[in-house]
Parts: sequence; C-alpha cells; structure tokens
Amino acid sequence: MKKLKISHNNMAYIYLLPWIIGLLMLQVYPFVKSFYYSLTDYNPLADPKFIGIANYVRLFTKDKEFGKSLAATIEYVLVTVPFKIIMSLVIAMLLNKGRKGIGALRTIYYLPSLFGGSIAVAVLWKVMFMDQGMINAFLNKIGIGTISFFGNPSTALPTLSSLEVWQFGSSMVMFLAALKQVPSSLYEAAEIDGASKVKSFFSITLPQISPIIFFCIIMQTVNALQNFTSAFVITQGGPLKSTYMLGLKLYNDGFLYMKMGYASATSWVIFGLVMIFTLVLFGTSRFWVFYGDED
Amino acid sequence: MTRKKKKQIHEIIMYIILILVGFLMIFPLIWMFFASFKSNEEIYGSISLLPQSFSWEAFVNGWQGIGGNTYTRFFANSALLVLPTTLLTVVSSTLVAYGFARFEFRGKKPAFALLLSTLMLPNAILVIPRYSIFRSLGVLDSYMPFYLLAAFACYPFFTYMLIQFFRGIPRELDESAYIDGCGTFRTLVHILLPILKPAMFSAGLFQFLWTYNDYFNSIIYINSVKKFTVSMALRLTMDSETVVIWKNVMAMSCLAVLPVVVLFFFCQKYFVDGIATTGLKG
Amino acid sequence: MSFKRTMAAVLSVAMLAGMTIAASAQEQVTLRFSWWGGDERHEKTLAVIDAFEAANPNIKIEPEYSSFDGYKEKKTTEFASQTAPDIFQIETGSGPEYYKNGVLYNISETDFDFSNFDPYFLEMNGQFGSGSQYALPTGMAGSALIVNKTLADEIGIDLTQPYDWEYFFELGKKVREYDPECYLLSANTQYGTAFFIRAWMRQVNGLPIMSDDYTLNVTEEQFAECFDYIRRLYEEEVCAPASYKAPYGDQDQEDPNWIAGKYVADVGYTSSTNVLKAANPDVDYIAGQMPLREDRKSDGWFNDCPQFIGIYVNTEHPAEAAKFLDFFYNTEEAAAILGTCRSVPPTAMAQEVCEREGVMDALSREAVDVSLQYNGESDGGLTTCAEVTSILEDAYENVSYGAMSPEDAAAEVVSLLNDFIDMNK
Repeated sequence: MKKLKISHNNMAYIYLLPWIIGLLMLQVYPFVKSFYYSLTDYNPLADPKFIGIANYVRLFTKDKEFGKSLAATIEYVLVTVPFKIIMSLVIAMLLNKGRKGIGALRTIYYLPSLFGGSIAVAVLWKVMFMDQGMINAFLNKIGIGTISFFGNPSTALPTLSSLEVWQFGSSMVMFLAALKQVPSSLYEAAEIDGASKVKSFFSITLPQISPIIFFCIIMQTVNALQNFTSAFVITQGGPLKSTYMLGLKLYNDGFLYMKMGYASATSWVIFGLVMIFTLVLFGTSRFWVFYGDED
Repeated sequence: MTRKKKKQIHEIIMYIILILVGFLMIFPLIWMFFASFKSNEEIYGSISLLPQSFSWEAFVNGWQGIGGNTYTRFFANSALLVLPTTLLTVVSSTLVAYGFARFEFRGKKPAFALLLSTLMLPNAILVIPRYSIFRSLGVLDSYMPFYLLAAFACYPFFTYMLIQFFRGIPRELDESAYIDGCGTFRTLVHILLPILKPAMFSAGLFQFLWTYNDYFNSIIYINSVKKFTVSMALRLTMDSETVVIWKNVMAMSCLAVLPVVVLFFFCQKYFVDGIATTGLKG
Repeated sequence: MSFKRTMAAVLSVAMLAGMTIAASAQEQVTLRFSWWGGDERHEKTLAVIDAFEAANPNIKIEPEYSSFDGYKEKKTTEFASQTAPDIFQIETGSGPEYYKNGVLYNISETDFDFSNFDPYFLEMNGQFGSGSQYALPTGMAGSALIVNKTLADEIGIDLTQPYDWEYFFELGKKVREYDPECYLLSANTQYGTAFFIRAWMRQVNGLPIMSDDYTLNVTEEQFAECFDYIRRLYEEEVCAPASYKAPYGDQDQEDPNWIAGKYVADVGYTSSTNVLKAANPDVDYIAGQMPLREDRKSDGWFNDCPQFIGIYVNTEHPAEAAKFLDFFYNTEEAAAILGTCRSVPPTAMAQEVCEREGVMDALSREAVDVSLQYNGESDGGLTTCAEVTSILEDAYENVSYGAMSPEDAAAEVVSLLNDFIDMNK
C-alpha cells in the first residue's frame, strides 16, 4: 500500500485542526445562530418565532432606553480610551528617560491592570466612593464637601470610568517598549537642527510609535464597548440609567426580561459599533499611522 | 541659574510627579488591605489609612465561607479551573500559531482574517448559543466548557500573540532542521519550542490571569456552590441580605488578588515581554 | 397524624413497593435545589437538607445557593436549556410568568400534604388562578413600615394609629425641624415603587395596575396624581434624597444613616425587618400602620408571600421532590431549624413551632400581623413582572430625582405600558 504522503504545506491543516473545529463549532455557529435569534421573538421558555427585522426597528425607533444606553456606552468609550492612552503615553515618556528606580515605578503603575474585570476591585471602588467612603471623608476634610459619586447621574459614569482608567498599565508597558525602539539617531539629528523637545515629540516620537497607539486604541475601544462587570457590580445601570451601558442592557433584556431575540439584536448592534469604530480607525490610519518598515 | 541646575530641578519635579501618581495608583490596594482590619464604623467617614488595631479576625471569619464550603475549597476550585485551562490554551494556541506562521497553505489569508475578526467578536453575542452547545454535550456545571474552549483554541488573543512571536524566529532554523530530516512536528518541539518558551509562558500567565479574574462566564456555566471559584465566592460573601461586614469582604478580596500579585512579582519580565511584543488588551 | 395523611402514606408505600419490587430496592436519587439569600438562610436551609438526607438516605439534595443578584438571570438560562434544578425558590413577581410558560410542575398532582396550610392563602399564593398548586408560598409577607420607635418617641411621632397619605408631610416637617440630619422616611426606588405607586393605585381603583388579561386599569391622570405625591415627598424632604439613597440599591440596612438611627421609618417589606433591625440593634422597633386614602376602593395593603418554592416541570423525580418539600414545610423539625429565615412561616403549625422554640422574630411577626388587618388583594401578576416593574421604577426614579415632571412621567409610563401590552398580548 502506498504510504499517504501529505505535502509540507498541507501539514498546516493538521496543526490548525483544533482551531478549525473550535472556529466552526464555538465561534461561527454561535455567531450565525445569534444573528438568527436577533430576527426572532425568543422567550427562552418557548421556541423562537421569526419576526424579521422587527427587533432592530424597535431598537432604533421605539426604545428610548436604547438611545440612553448607546449614549452612555459611547461616552464611556470616549472618556476612558483617550484618558487611558494619554495617561499611558505621558507616564511612559517620563519613565523612558532611564531614571533610577524606574523598575519599581513601572511595577506600581502596571499592577492595577492585572485586575481587569475582577469582582474584588469593583467592590473596592464601591466602598471607596460611597458617600461615607474614604474619598468623601477626604473631600470633606479639604472643604469640598460630600459628592454622591454613585448617586448623582452626572458623576456615576465618570467614576466608573476612573476604574477603567486606573488600569492603564498594560498600554503603558506597550508604549515603553515602542519608545525604546525609536532610533536615538533621529533625536540627535533633530537636536542638531535645533528642534525643540515639543517639536521632536510631535515630529519623531508620535509618528514612530503610532502603530502601537493605533493598536491600543482599537483593542481598548473594543473592550470598553463591551464593559459589563463594573456597571453590573457597582451601579447596576443607575442612577437614572446614566451607567446603563449596552453590555448591561443586553444582559437585562435577555436574562431578566427574557427577550433573548431582542438581546441578540442588541449584541449585534454592539458588534456593529465595534466594526464601525474599527473601520473608521483603519480608514483614517493612513493619515496618521506611520509604518516605518512594512513587511 | 545654570543649565545643569535647571535640569536637576526639572528632574526632581519629574520624580515627585511620578511618585505622587504612583502613590495614587497603588493607594486603593493598600487601602483595601488595611480596610480588612477596620470595623464598618472605622470605614465610614474616616480618612485614616491605618486601622485602630490589627487582628486577623476578618481573614479567619471570611475564610469560613458559607455553609461548610470554605475558601480552601474555592481556591482549590479556582486552581482546578485555571490550571488546565491555561495549559490547554498554551498547547492549542502554539500548534495553531505554528500552522499559521510557518506554512503557506491554501486559504491562509482568509483564515487569518477570520482569526483577527474573532478577536473583535463581543463575548455577549456568543454566550447563549454556546450555552446550548455545552448543554447538548452535557458538560454544564463543570469546568469542561472552559477546557473545551481552551483546547479548541477559542481564545484568538493567544494564537495571535504567538504568531507574532513565531514571526520573530528566523525561518532558517526550520529549514536546517528539515535538511537534517526532522518532520514538522519534531522541528516545532525540538527547535522552535525552546526559543518560544518565554512567549508561551507569557501567554500562559495572561490566560491564568483572565480565567482567574473571570466572573461572567463562571456564573453562567457553574451552578453548584461546591464548584464555585474564588470570584464567585467573593460575590456570595458580599451578599447583602445580611448586614455586610466590609472587613470580611475586603479581607477575602485581598486574598483573591494575592495569587495574581505574587505571580506578577515572580514573573514580571514575562508579563512585560508578553505585552510589549504583541500589544495585548488591558 | 391525620387520616388523610395516613392514607396517603399507606398508599404511597404500597405504590412504591409495587413499583420498585422489580427494580433495586432503593434507587439512589439526587435532586438539585436552588435558592437565593444571605448567610442565615443558607446555613438554615443547608441544615434542613442535612436533616432530610439523614431521614431519607436514598435521596441526596444538591444545594445551589447564591445571592439574589443574578439569580433570576441564571434561572432564565437554565430554563432555556432545560437544565433548571428540580426544586427552586421563585421571586413572587416571576411566579405567574413561570406558570404561564409552563416551567412549573403541578404540585397538586404529587403526594404533598397541603393540610397544614390555610386553603385561601394557598389559593392566593401559587395557584395563579388555575385551581392547582404550582408553587408553594415560603412564608407570609407584605409591605411594611419599620419604625425606629426610639427616635419616633423622641420627636413625638405616632404611626400606630390609622392615618392618610397627607400625614407624612406633616410628620416629615416635624422631623426636619427636630433635627436637620434626620428624615421621616428611608425609601429606595424598588420598595418605594411598591409602596407609593402599586399600593396607592390599588387603593384608588381597587385593582392592580395591569390585569392579567393585559388591561391597563390606571389612567394617565391617576398616574400623574400619584407621581405628584411622590415629587412632594422628595421636595418637601419627607424622604431622604434620591441621589443619597441610590448607591445602596434596595439594601437600606447598608445605609450608614439607617445604622446611625437617622430615619424615623423605613419603607420596606416584612421580610426585610430582620436585617434592618440587625443593622442598628441599639434602638426599639415597631411595625407602623400603613397610610390609607379616605376614598379608597380597597385598603390596598395585603399579605402575601416573600417568595415561592416550586418543582421544575422537567424533573425526573417529582415524587422525591415533593417528599423533600413535604419535609421542608410539614415537619416540626424543619420548622424549628428554619425559623423566620424566609419571613414568618406560612403554616400555623410552623408558626407555633417557631414561637415555642423561640426562633420567631417578634418584629417580623408584628409586621405580618399589621399587614393581615388590611383587605387589599395581591397584585402579583403582570403588574409585578420584571418589565412592568422596571417601567414603574424608572418613573419613580425620574420623579424622585426631579428629572421629570409628574405629568411627563405619567405620559411616559402610560405609553411604555401600552407598548408592553402591544408587544406581549
């Protein structure tokens, strides 16, 4: 019998096999299925009923909560992502000077980002920011008075955002690595030309690390759009729906009000948002992302 | 003022800023630790960081857990969930990444695009259908859903991360191994893995972290209290129908983050390398 | 043992014997039982399970307990995938919904012994108009006003006599004059909605806000009147500010001002008396009377149950599940262990046992007694289903924050409720 010989490149399929199975069964199939659900009236206690695009029509024309929810989500993204990026960039710049004790500082800045999405820090935030909490005790001491962080619709979302921004460490580490790779010859040349520090930051540093900035913005936008744990544990969407982000709305619609079809439609809207953000970023990337050596 | 002196002052200001911000960063964690020793009255309305007295009572009480299920069990459960998941993730992601990085197979481009797009797939979209799949496989209320997702490389982050690492390894190494008569698998195991080890370790650390911190998926797949992980137990501990004794919750929160912190201090380099190379989320 | 019970026992033994003669003598059965609660309820329920297992070595009960947050969501997923536990605790608001969707087993078809229960109480709680028992009430409960008697006496406030809704304004003013740090009422959105919207409407119309045939019984003007009352409660500082209360959700016992005794009364449920008292044990408490309208069609206030326990329709072992519930509800042993961890128990037998063993919480008992003197009827059904509840709560929140005028809120509620009707009818 002739031995079955697999050509070298076709060996790839063997290595890819687990992924192919996983992709089809646990990613693509659920993905398609959830799209089907989004076109149905699906109470999990009964069978789904096909209703066409009614869920989407309802989301965009009748559901006032959805508008609020969408606004809160976008606000959350627009607050946390730029803050995180700017924070990590500034700190990375300061740490990049080869100062003494950088290792320890880097560790400290990085530490909070280890707890992303963990219940422990969500609870911690809740306790620190309550009316009688430590933060308010401090504000009272310095004469500002009590701020009802999670009771006031205008402060609740920023306070939740602060938890997200606190965890800027991982993008900072990425920026640090990117900064190290900027050739120092570029700065030297700029200095000879008499360029100011500010100018060389904008004309050398930023363009050089722009691919990493680009990547960070995309990943963090995708994550922020899906935020769930902090709103779920700390505010449950309140007060006055000010922190009722899409991730939470979807969860409540689906699991609490048992409208799985409607929730699936919401999840597709989140997916659509992710796509739009990504495409816009990709579309604009050729104007501001500088790839030194494309391969 | 001389230029040098000006520079020195500049330096000092920078340090002060860095240290102040650093202090702000770590302050919540320090506060959480000391809050484990404070009564509710001490937590309410006080700014003093240090507790009036140190007693490990909250740790002892908190550890008791609920209904005979102590935190010993919850930590053991977390280990049972996290360790195999991590191991399986690393193995499957390495194999798949190898396939992507070293072979020119038909359909590679669309396959890679698919991989990248699954990176951006919101978890929420998949939860319900996945749940029914695991039900028909009869693996609910166990850690099997996590193991399966790991074994079938459904965490595209790590595949993507390892592909990036593979790309950094010169292809000449493979070529010479083929010439020596190694098959692709032996090339992977004997030639590439030793070089890739740090990267795999990084991937493993991140998977450890994320699985350990996860709450959303655990609460969906696991029912029995005796299978609860630390995150789930924490949520149970802070259950509010009785008056919350914050120090118990804070004490258990400290213990819950402890493995992560310890792991981080021992493996700092790998965390930083892992992130720096691939630009992971966070 | 009554004749009926003896007969039932004899019959079931005979049946079991007949059925199992061919099979192994005693088949090992495992049942899953899930509930939500706090530490006390967990410990006591687990103790009952132990006692039951000791008496029935062939049945093993796998406990699945959790906090209230996320409990219902979890059940939804389990129903969707037909993996719900054999026995589970049910939120009162969800009972009718579950019954309608057919996830509950008809307990009347099992050997469960109902003789300890008051038949009318059973009919009102867990039959959902079907004439058969689909869920068992875990206790007796109702809206309650938990009064800090120590503070009330200091200020000279008496809530033990009948009074009308306007009376709160008079008292509220008195409290603010007495001490600007104190408020008459601690009310959160969830309990406030039950108290100031649902009870109010039952007094106005003698009907629930929405009947089970999807009829909306309340007009926009009636909502506006009610919301205007709520607006005044907050504007005239009868209730603590909504933004202050919001971070504590429905956990009034976590509010440090409650712990410090700065409220005269808490707007809550009989089942929350335990924890409210435990949060500030240094003062005396009583259960206050409830406000009544002069022109009421019904007292509005009523007594029902804090939650149900039901059997899952797809259980493989309904007989064993019923056997466990029988032990849970009908044995003195279980009653003595459980005490009032699910409010005052529903049967006279269990109540006696609790009194005798000294595990009856006096304040809970008092609050239940107050609720028993009113003639209102439970509005459990569509009015209390999750979605309608959230519509009403949103309105309450908007009005209490002053974010919406009573008229706008009323218009919004009516339009949302009509939309809900269109969607579901």
